[in-house]
Amino acid sequence: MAFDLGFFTTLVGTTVFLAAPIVLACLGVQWSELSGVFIFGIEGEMLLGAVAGFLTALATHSLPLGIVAGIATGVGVGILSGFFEVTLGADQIIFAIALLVIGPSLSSYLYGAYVGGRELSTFSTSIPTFTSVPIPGLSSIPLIGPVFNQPILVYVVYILVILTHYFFYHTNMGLKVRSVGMNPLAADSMGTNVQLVRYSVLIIAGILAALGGMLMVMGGTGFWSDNVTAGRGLIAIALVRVGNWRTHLTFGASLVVGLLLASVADLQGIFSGGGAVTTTFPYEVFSTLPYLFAIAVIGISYKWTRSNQPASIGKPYQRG
Amino acid sequence: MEPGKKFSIWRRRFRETALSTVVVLVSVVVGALLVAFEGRSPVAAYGTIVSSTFGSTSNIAYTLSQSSPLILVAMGLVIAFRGSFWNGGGEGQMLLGGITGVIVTYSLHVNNTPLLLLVGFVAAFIVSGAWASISGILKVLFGIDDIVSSLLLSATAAFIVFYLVRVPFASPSTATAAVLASVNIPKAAQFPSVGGISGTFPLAIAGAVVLAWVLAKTKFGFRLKVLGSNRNTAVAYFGKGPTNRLFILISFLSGGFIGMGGMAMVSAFTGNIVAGASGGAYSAGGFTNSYGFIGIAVVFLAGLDPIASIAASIFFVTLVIGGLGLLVLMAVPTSLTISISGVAILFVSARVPIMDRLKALRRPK
Repeated sequence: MAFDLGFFTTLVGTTVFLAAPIVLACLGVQWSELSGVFIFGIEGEMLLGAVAGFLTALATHSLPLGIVAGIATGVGVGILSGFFEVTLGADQIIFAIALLVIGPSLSSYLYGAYVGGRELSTFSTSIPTFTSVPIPGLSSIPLIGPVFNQPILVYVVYILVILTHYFFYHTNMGLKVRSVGMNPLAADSMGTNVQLVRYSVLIIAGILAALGGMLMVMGGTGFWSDNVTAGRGLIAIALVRVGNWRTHLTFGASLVVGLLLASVADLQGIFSGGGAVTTTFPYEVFSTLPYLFAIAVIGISYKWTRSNQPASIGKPYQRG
Repeated sequence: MEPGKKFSIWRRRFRETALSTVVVLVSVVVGALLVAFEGRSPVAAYGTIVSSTFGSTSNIAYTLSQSSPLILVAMGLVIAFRGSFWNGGGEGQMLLGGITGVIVTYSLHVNNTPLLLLVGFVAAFIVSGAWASISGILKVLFGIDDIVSSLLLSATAAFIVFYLVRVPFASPSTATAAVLASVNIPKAAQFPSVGGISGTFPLAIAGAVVLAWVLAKTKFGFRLKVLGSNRNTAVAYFGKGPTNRLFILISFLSGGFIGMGGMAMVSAFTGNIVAGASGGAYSAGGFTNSYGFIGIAVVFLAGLDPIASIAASIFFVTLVIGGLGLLVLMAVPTSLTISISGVAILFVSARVPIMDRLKALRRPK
């Protein structure tokens, strides 16, 4: 493989594309946690959104309908989270474990229940995938052109990053949401409806997670595979911590992981001899890199002098 | 406690058992809805589950035997959650325990069953415990959320095992197949069974009884309780260093028991480790039967009580084994069982607030 301009241009495109689901998950984590609700179960939310989008797209042969179904699932999961974590005041870590258990198993079950037992010679199990839409002009810039030659959903991700940052750090409303995360009692006494804020934020986080999950399956091969999100939601939790709950830092960290994932895919291709299992080289070590990187960066983020962690994170708030 | 009002531990236990039963019933109903979604009869499905697990004496013996790995995993999780170590990486720890057992018993060319089993279980305990204690150490040193690090390490462990199964300890027969299997353990390392019940079952029961005694009667159990209920109190009473060391010890013991669950699985049932072609997700699936996750439902339904965990384990193993029966007889995917336990965990998360609300309803204002 030649390490020329073409190689790096492809790498840039792959990096951005692989980073996009992680960015969406990071945004979801950020929305939820800045209002004071842990969302360790985002991996499960991504999988539920992904399977809903996938199955709907499979049944209707329509990608937009699939996306609508996925978003609706995200809203549903958000309302469910709100009911347990806000209304009932459930233990947020146990709730997260529940989502982490339900996500992979229920998505795998629903896929198996829908596809299993069908005659696969006449029944296609693939859905249409996203096609890249190049932005005229920008996409022909050397090296960074592929950044602007992506599926539309990836452009939506760019916009969402900017909007989220603007919302949280430059608007009154964003300040109110953050104040709910810092001190819900004070926010309540200032007239902010804590329950409403947390419900809305959890629903937004659910939608973002569902979009991330759908990007994984609809931007990929168009076939379902169990655990299609492959730990991206877990990595996102780590990245939000290293990004100190600041959108631009988290976005940068996601791009690093995207680069890591893209290089891992390349390295694995080189060292596994084209996917053959006969080689004795431990190419699995490359697959562990994103996870080890995520652990390492949270360790580093502990050294941040001025943590932006919401003070009341993980504590249910009951009025009165 | 108000004066004059006798504290009734039995009444509380009764309420908690009643709530757990309701949670189980609700999850079973959700499971029935899922089966109905697939267009099959839920009654027939649950009938199959019951008949394939408790239909005959040999089936009952098999179901009880199969529950021993899950009981051991549940013990590890009881220790973890009592000490507020959020161990989400049971899957990876169980997988590591299993592969350690395979490697050790395969490499030791001895023909002595007690020796092989002893070395295998101890090695599995140490390796999985060490792996889990990484999360504990990271939490103490860097404040990394233990649930995040244990899940990430679980995925890492799955890749390590995938390599071990693919290259150094690959089964000679399936070296190029899509599903990779490890070498088989020697015959001498298989756990003996008596009357159809595997010896791992009394072992697991003994483990649970000992753990219950340790938790209730020893200084260690008391410290665990203090640390689990309030970390600041623990630091105030025992000091920062001892509290941190206790936390790391908890993570080690937790992983160790879960690793023994993996070893029990290998030595009593599978005889080897199978790594799926995907091998990469944070859920190791396959070999572990997702016990690392189901165990969480078990211990929370049992109210973190070791003895009650035995009953809860047998219930969930019934679902798992019955789920395999469903797969064979009715082609229902086995992930149904895991979904049911997930729903159970979902409701258990709201257990404390629900109990409080019930109490508030009764109390006259």
